Amino acid sequence: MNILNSNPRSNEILLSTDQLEIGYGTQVLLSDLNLNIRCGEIIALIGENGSGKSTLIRTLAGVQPSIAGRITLNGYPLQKVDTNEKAKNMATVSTVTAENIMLTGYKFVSHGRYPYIGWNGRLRLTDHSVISESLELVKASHLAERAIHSLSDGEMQRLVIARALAQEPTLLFLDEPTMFLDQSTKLILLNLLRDLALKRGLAIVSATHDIEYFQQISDTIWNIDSEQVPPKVHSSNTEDFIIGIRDSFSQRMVLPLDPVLFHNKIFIDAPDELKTLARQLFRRHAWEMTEFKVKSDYWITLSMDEDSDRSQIQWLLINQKKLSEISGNSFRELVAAINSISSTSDQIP
Amino acid sequence: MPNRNRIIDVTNLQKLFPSKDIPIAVVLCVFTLLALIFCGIALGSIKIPVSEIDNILFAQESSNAAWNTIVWHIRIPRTITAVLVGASLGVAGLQMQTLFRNPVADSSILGVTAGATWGVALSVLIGTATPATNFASAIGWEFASITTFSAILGAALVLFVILLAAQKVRSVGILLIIGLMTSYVLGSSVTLLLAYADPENIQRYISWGFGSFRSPGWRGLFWLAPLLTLSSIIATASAKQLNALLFGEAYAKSIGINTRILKTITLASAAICAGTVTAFCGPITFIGIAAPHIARMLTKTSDHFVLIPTTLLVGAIVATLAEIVAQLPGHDSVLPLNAITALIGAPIVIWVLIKYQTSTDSP
Repeated sequence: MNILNSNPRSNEILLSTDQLEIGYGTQVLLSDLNLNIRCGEIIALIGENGSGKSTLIRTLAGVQPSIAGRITLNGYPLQKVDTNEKAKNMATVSTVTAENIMLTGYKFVSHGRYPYIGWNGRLRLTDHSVISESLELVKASHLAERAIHSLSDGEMQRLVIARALAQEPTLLFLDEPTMFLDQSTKLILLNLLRDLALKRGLAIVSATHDIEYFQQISDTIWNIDSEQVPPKVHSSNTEDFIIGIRDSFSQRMVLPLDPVLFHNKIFIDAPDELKTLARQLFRRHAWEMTEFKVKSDYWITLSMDEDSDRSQIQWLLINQKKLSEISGNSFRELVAAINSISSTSDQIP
Repeated sequence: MPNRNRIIDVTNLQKLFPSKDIPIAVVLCVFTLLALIFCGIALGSIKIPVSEIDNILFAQESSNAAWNTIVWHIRIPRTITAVLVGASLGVAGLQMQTLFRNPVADSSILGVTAGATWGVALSVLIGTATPATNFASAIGWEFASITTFSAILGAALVLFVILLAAQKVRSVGILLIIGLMTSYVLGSSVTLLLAYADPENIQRYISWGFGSFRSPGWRGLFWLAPLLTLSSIIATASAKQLNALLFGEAYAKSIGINTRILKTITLASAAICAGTVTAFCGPITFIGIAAPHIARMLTKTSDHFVLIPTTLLVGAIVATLAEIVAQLPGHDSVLPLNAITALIGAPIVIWVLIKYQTSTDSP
């Protein structure tokens, strides 16, 4: 019953598109889309404003009809899936204006249970526990009693995500979720999304302009290239994507390889052991490092001076994900892994 | 153990959010409505002692036979009509405000009221010239019924157009404009009819436009009551869907609501309500816009599970009160109903909205 708690087989394709064409009426925005979304996969969807990110998300979520082609959800054609059944499998997080609407945070999040409850809106015990669990996950339990029109954009965003989680989806679509968030809230959100993907096998597709944040957690990047006629969507592995960008540095799309874009900072989610190792490793490169704690998560900030070698920054960007992946392993493996990816440094004791 | 913790947690939360607890405002509304229903029966142009009312109601006998007739054949149907019309118009207004996300919408926005008015204008202003009136006269209906019959035909015609448009048009905004434009077209054809009609017929048409809860009587209630109850039940049963619609259609779809069906059902029930009311009581204005706002102010929520019952009560209260005032208790003359609803109600709504705006700090 609870999809979130079921044990997902990784690499299983949840949703796929075949020669999909999207847009409004006769106006085609994107065509020839052959995309796959797998269990536990985090996909960052990037592209310029108006390139069709939101339309793609709405079409995949089954809220907007496609022009041509096919979308398959768990092997079924999406068109034939009942609206209610769609909502049990897929949830969408997009900007919600709560102006003039008087509801408590809890009532709002309870909307996520609508696919599961009857016409009289009565919430069962399981519904209540899913709602409070969802609120806890986004650290918004304290917003349950607040009136939603009095919340800040960031607080509202958390409730919108909690509402989506209350739908117990296997696939989560987010439309620019970091837009109104401050830096630390963005990091909390990224952490949450990664946890949901890792621990619960939730597949996540997020349209975003904050690629410097999302490339840290995403497995795949869907890049809408509007310069091409007709526009194309390139799906690539995040690491390949970043290397590709490095290799063609003069290209139009400038990734946050430039330290200035980062405000000279890189954030790494680090458990204690890794933090110690990372400190030694990074000191060797003469990067100033500060540590801070956001709620229960430790983060390391690295500040680089302008003269730092670009290749070092790129090395860090590419290996950040590896560092966080191996952080779950044993101490010995960790040392070996860091040594193997650190080409410039001596052996670490 | 974690399960046990969870249950404790949930019961705490349920205490914090008493969805089933009835707001005090609703209880007050129930008592106010009961008092007003009694007043509606007890008060009128002719003074009947309260002690006699009791006799008439429960023993069905009175020292004065005329009083008996007045209470049973005028005041009781009149009051029932007011309660039903007020409640259903209020809730239809709420449906429209939510569907169109527009605070000044009511069921007349669909053009159904204009359709009914047009039907009445045709039959009253041209007289026997229309097929509807010919048909009605053929089966021996009197004037009041002919008016009703033409109004129903006019309303049904517009309802058909609106539902057809709802299937074709995706945006509710465009639907709103189609409704308004239909109203304008029908309104202008009524103006044309007025320009060439007999002064006597014009007078009849205008007095029909005043609105009245007395005209249906028991015979009208036979049709009015089931239709209005039906539209109110449909609205009540779609409270969950309307809640989902608060944040727009895409949002509703994303949480599993079939908005196409919802739109059709909502439009149909509001249109049936507007059409029926206009046909039997004339174009009753104001209640549809005001009742939802007063209900929101009283309950301080946008949750339709609370808002719909409250709006039903508030609509009934406003209509019954307006009817009592329009009767000018103790006087022979009767004021036009539509004049009363807006004249007294509009300042109240403005005051309520301004007060409510400052108290919730909403922009």
